[in-house]
Amino acid sequence: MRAIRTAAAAAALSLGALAGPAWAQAPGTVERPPGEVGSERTVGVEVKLGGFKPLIDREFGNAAGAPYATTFNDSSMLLFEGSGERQLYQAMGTAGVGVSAGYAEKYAPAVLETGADAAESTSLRLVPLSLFGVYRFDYAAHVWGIPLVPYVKAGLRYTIWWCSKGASLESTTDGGLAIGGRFGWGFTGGLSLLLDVFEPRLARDFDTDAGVNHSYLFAEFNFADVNNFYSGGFDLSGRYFTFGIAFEI
Amino acid sequence: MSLRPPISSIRVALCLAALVTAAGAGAQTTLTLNVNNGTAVAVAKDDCTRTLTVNWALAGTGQSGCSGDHADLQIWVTNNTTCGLDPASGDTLVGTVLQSTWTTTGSGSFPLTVSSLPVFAGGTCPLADTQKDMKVCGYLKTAPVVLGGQCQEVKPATLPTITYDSQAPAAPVITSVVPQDKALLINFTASTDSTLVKVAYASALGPYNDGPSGPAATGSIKLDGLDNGVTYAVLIYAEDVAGNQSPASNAEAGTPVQSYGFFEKYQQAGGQTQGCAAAPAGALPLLALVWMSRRRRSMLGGGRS
Repeated sequence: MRAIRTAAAAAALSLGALAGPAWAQAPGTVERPPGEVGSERTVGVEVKLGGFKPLIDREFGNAAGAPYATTFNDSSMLLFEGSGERQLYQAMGTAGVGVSAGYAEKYAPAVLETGADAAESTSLRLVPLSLFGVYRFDYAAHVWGIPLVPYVKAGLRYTIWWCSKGASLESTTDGGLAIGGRFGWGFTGGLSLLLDVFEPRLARDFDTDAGVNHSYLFAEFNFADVNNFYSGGFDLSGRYFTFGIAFEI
Repeated sequence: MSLRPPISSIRVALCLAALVTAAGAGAQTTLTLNVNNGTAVAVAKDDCTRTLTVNWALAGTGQSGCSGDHADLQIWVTNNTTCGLDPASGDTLVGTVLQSTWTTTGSGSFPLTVSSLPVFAGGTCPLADTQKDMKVCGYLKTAPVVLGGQCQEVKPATLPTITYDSQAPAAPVITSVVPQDKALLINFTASTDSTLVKVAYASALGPYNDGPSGPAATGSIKLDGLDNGVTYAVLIYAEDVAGNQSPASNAEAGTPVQSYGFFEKYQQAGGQTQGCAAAPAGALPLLALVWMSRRRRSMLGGGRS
């Protein structure tokens, strides 16, 4: 219970710290960095891919014979995520709040009593959801022309999971179905490369025609502890990199 | 005084000619036919007393029936692949729509008993081991309302097909039976006129039971709800679109075998999570919100946390 309170408080503080400055500004009067050109930015969207290996075997001390390693050969799942954020503060960087959703799956043959592969497959599928606050230090990019934007995110996570064998959900020992959800928290640190500097005219046209102010390629490291705030059981935590493309609109 | 007509008279005559031509060319009558509201119907050996409905519809503007030959719409069924202008010998006349009963548009229907189809000409329904496609035909002539118009032929753009099929598809072949957990996956090949396969299965303890059925095109069908470790004999039948059933396939044996999926291995290893027995996954965020609101209320009210 103490761990839950600590984690929840930390998440709330991180969200509050990021959203706080925005509350002091009326909508439509967001202060912008001097020298920034283009239409007003209000929203950010991004799509990303990465290899995600849930730390399920941590529940078993990563011992030999732990289920994820033996079933899926300890390899990562391909995770696809999309997110959207509302920018609330623009001056010395940009802050906002956002949500994200993703999907990852991993298939392997089920096994027979003998340990040999069965004819049917088994799968683990995940839908990670997140509510987060984000801060991007883009002042240098917009004012000094340095096209690198470091950023951090922190927030709450909820991951829906389910396991199937053949075409059906697996059954559990108590007669239920192998489906559920786990709460957690996480933070992300990343670096974006502002693409506008390579084709400034194209970037301005993109803004004029489609309202896309800036485009980025980015790489980020994700730290997520998704295990119902350390209460035991299915551990869908992960430490993983994702790569993607982002747009500010 | 000139013998040439005035220019204005020539213009008027040309305009009138153009209008008449345009009215005649643009006002085309269309004939639409269908059987049981479809363009293809299959009837089987046991359908001799069944009655089909042949629907017709005429649509056009500025047209009426031609006063000469083929002024009335005739609808018939033929054994031939093409229709011609009138029912041929052996064809079945479905009905005649008199020209006086419609002006520019009209629609209606005729009953058609399966036993009267031309496939039975010279014989009686049913016919054994027969598969025959028949076309539903219609023909009439219409004339433009404007003076001087020529009668035009009207035929349906699409000829509905009635297939009499008392021929059973060839027996399917089971190519393999794959043991699964409490199930058998049956892989098979079936003839192209098969639309459905049905499974029959039996253990050593009893007679054949009816199993699931599924599309023939998939090439495999799963028989589940079985007991692991018990050997079952399985065979399948194919059905065509008319419902004719093939002879039985080869019989094959298979034994379902216990297998373990990821979550079963997780629980075998001592994992604590039990999955969702009572609350679906989507309910969990709602439960969390309820928990948080109750907690906030209790904190504000000084209640026990």
